[in-house]
Amino acid sequence: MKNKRILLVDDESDVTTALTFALEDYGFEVDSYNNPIVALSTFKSNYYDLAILDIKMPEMNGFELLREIKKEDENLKICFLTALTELRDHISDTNELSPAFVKDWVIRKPISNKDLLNDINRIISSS
Amino acid sequence: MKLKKKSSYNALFSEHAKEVGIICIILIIAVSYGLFFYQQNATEESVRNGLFVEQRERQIGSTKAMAQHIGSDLSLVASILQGLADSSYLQQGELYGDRVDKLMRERFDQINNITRVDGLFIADRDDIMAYDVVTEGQRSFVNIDISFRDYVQETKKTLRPVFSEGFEGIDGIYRIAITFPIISRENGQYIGIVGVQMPAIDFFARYGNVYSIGSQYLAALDRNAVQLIHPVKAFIGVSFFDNHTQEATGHNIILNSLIRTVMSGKSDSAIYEFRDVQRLTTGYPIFVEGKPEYFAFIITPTAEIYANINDVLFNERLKMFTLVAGFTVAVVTLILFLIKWNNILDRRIKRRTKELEKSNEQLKVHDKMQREFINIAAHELRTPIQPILSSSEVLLSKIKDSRHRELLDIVSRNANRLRRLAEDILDVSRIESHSLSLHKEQFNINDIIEDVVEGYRNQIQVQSKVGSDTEILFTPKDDVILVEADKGRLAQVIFNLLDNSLKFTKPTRGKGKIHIISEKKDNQVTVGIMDTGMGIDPEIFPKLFSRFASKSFSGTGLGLFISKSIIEEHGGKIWAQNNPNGGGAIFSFTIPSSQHLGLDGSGGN
Repeated sequence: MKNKRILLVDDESDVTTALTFALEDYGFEVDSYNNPIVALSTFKSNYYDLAILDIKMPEMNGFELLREIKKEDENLKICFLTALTELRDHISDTNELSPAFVKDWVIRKPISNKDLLNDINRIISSS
Repeated sequence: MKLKKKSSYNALFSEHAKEVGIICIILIIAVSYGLFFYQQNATEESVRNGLFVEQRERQIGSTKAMAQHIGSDLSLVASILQGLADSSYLQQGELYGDRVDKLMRERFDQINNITRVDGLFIADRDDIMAYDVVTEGQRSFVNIDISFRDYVQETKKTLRPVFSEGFEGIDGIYRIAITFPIISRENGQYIGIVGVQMPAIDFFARYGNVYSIGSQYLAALDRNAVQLIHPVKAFIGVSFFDNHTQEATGHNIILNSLIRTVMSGKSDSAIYEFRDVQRLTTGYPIFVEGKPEYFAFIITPTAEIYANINDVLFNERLKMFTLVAGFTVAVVTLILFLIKWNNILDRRIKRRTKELEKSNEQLKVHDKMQREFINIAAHELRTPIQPILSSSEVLLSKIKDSRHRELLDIVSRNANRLRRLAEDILDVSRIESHSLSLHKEQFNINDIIEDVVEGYRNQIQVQSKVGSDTEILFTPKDDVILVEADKGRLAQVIFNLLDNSLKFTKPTRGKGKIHIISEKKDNQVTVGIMDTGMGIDPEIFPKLFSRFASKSFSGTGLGLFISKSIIEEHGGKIWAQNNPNGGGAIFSFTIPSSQHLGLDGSGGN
C-alpha cells in the first residue's frame, strides 16, 4: 500500500520541519510549505490524501487558501492546525464555522504527535 | 443599535404617556372647577331662598311693629283729646273764649309733637264749629256746620272716640280725623266734639315711604278699604275693591285675598306679580284700644330684596373667587414649577445617559482590544511549543541512550507544562479582564464527570504518572442532573479538581482513593471530590483559591483560581475542607440546576 500523501502549510518553518519529521516517522509522505502562495502555485490536484493548513499566515490565511485549493481539487480533505483561540476574526462568512465543522476539521496547537496522528487517521478515514 | 432603538421607543412611549397625563390633569381640573361652580350656584340659590324667607319674616315683623307704633300714636292723640273733653271748661259748656283758647293751644302743641295736624277743633252739640286752632296757612272753620262729616255723626251716635275714614277737604287734601265726644260727667249729656284733622300722607309718611312706588313703600286703608295714602294720587280716596283699582291691579286674586285677610283683623303676607314686577306685600291691622281702625301694608318689589341679597352674595362670591383664584394660581405655579423641574431632570438624565453611552462605547472598544490582545498572545504563546513538543517526541523514538532520553523527557515534560501554563495564564487574563465568556447549553452534568474521569484514567495509565494506581470512583446520587452551563469550562473545573486531588493523594494507608459524588438539592447541583491524601496544609488553606497559592511539581498553581472563577461565573460557589473523618480533603462546588423543564421533568425540586 502506497504511503498517504499530506500537504502541510504553515508559515513557521520550525513547525513544518518538526511535524514533517514526525509524520514521516508515521509513514506519511509530506510536502510542506511556509508560504501559502507558493503552496498554491505548485499545487498538484488529485495527488494528496489530506491537506493540513495553518490559519494565521501572512499574505493569505488558511480559509482563503482552502477556497483556492478547493477550486483545483474539490474532493481533497482539508483540515486546519492552528494556535488561534477565536477563528471568527479570520473568516468573512462566519456561518461556515459551525460547531460541528470546528470539532471535525480544526486541530488545536500545540498537540502531541500521537494525538495528531489519531486526528489525521480519523479525518482520512472519514467519508 | 438595538439598544438605541429600544430607548427611543421608550422615549416615544414616555412622551405619549406624558401627553395623556397632562390631558387627564386638565380634564380633572376642568371637571373639578365645573363641579365647584355648580355647587357654588346651588349653594347660592339655597342661600338666596333662605335669605328671602328671612327677609319676608323680617318684613312681617316690621309691619306688625309699625302698625303697633301707629296704633299707639293714634291712641295717644285720642287720650289727649279725651283729656281736653274732660277739662272743666268744656265740661261746663265753655267751648270758646280765652281760657279755652289757651288750653286748646297747649293741647294743639302736644298733639303736633306726635304728628302734624291741620287743626284742633271743638264743635257744639249742633255740629257747629265752636272753636278751632289751625296751623298757619289753614283756614278756620268757626261757625261752620260740619254735620255733613261722617265722623261727626258717628261720634254723636256712638258717643265714643272715632278714627275716621278718609275724606277729602275742600282744599282737596285727603285727611283723617280723630274725634272724642264731650259728655258731661254730671248728667251724661252730650255737649259736643273735640277732634283733630290731619293730612293722611303727612301722618303715615312718618312711618315709611309713601311717595315712591319704585321701591319699598307703605300703604294704608281705612275700614272701608279706601286707600288713605298712595304714591299714585289717583288711587287716594278710592276703595281697593273699586273697579278702577281692581283693573289697575289686574283683579289680582292673591292681593285681594291678602287685603281681605288683613281687613278681617289678621296679619298676612303674599308674593304676587304686579305688571311684570314681583312684589312682596305684608299687611297688619292698626289696632287702637283693641279695635282695628286702619290697615297698614308694606309693599316691596322683590327685585329690591334680591338686589340686597345679591349684594351679600356678590361679596361672598368675590371672597370665594379670590380664594379660588389664589388657589389656582398657586396650583398652576406649582405645576409649572414641576414641569420645569421635570424638564431640567429630563435634560440631566439625557446628558448622563449620553455620557454613559459614550463611556460604555469606550469600554466596549477597550474590551475588544483586550480580547484581541489575549487572542494574539495566546497564538504567539502556543506556536513555539508545537515544534518543541514534536521535535522532542521524534527524537525520543530515535535515541536509545538512557541519559539522553532523560534529557529529552525533561524537554517534553516542560514543553507540556509550558503549554498548560500558557492556557492557564490566558484564562487568568480572560478572568481578570472580565472576558471569560461562557457558551451555555443544557446537559447532564454526570455525563461530563463520567467523560473527564474516563479521560483522566486513560491519561494517568498511559503516562504512568505518580498515583496511577489510585482508584477513582464516581457515584452520582441522581441519574440525571441537568445544568445550563459551559460544557468545556465545567469539564476544565472537574479536571482541575481531579488533577489537584490526585497530586496531593499519597497512598498513606494502602491504595489511594478518590471519590466523586454529585447530587441535586433545592435547585442546586453539588459536586464533591474526596481524596485520601494528606489534607490541606493549614498555612495554605486561607489562600487556597488564589493565584499560585499551592503548586505541585507539575502544576501551574492557577487551576484552583481558574476553577473558582468559572464556578462563580456560573453563579455558583466552590470551597474546600479537610475530611473530618480522617485524612484527605474534600473539594466541592455548587451551581444552579437548570430551571427549564428538562429530561427529569421536575424542573425544580
